[in-house]
Amino acid sequence: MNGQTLLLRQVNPQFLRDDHLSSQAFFPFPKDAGQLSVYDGDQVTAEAAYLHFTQGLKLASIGVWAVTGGQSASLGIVSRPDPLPNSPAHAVIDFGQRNENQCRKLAKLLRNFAIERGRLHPMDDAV
Amino acid sequence: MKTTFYQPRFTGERFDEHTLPVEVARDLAAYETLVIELAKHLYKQDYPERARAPKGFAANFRLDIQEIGDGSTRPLLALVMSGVLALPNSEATHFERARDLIAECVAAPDARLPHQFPKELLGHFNQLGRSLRDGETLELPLACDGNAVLTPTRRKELVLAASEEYEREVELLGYIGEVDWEKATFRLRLADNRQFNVPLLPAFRDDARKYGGRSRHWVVVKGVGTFDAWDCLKRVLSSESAEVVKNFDITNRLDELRLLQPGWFEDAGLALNEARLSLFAESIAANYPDDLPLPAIFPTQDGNLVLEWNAAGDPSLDIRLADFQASFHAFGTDGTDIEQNFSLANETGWTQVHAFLIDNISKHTG
Repeated sequence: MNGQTLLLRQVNPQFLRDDHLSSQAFFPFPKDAGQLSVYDGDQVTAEAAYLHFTQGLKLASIGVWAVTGGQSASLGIVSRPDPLPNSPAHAVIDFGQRNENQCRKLAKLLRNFAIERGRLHPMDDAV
Repeated sequence: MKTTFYQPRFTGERFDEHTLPVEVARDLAAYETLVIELAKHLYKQDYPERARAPKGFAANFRLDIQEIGDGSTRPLLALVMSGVLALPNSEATHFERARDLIAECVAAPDARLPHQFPKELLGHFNQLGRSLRDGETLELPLACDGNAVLTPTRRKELVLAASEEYEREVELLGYIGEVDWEKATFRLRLADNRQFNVPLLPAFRDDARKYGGRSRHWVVVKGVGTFDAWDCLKRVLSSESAEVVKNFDITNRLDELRLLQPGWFEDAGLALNEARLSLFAESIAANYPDDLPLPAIFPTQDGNLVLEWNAAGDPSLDIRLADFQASFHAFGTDGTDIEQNFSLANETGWTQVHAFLIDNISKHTG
């Protein structure tokens, strides 16, 4: 993983309303201690990540958006590989010990980077 | 003079308790009207030299519900006649023939409706059977063995056999485009851009005046509409009720979120507390300012809400449902953050947050 690596984020269907992608899509779940799960784009394509998430793990996704490792780092957030037994390409964007207000701001900025890039999979009607 | 006349049978889920829903009684009233009209027609056929049925022919006839029988719902209809009709050898036979002909007509194949049944009376099936829902039937005993079965589909077929349109109950959702006070109607614009003129109920006049032209506030109209053979609504004939849903998009979205199940997010997202969500929905929909852009509303993984506006600075309002604490954030133009906390547990808090949001959220023009 490096600054060019795409960090592929699966977006829950609840986080897209009409053409509005919520910052909540990039907000770490409290139980995950500030770690936002992504796929390492050096290991899998957006399509493969989507299929693994929806068909392999049987979880809901409305599509894949991404930020790069460099964009994440520009906000002072570290990203790193975090392979799991059922998901070898798993990686995390680590928000660290930041409080909810700080996480909200960073989530909005990550979301804005992702919107500029557009939805990577499925490719139709990208946000 | 009272005699047992007929015992039709309603079937379907609503009738399993052997009670007769009040709205279904309208079908029986429509049945009575059709029996009278058809009996008159049969009388005139029998006595072509007479211009009309005898005086009192209809006025002295009525059907009463004598009892509700077992086996789904079987209202026993009694024939009550008075005046000249009550005399021996009177015209009761025409009513009985009408009864049997109606059942025969319902049972007949489309192309072979009984020739004695005049086509102009098929329009009565716009009313008779209109309260039947999908899966429900009205069984009419035939003079010979068996029953004729009236279903919503059969009712439609019978009306369309003599007309290009048929009537059925309709529920519409839209906003009031404009009100025509002279004609006492309002134009209801639906989400798919169709629009219909709806009769204005006297009790709805104040709401029509208040919400007319305000596209955020929708109206649920229940009434009767005219449809073509392809079930395309052509006109709204009458309205029975009209109810305003304030700030429909907000209310509708929060209703959706009410249905979220535990585990909605990656098998772990918390459901939103239904009672707290209802309270919040009531408060935000009641007084959300018309001049404030509508927010997109999202659940958070821990069972709370975040409201986001498509506006400069990416404004958002995090809502903690447990105590209605709200936390606003937006990026300021000078690189600073705009942050403010509110308590939305009372009306004062809502007034403050509305004023703050109006000051800090301008519609995104980029």
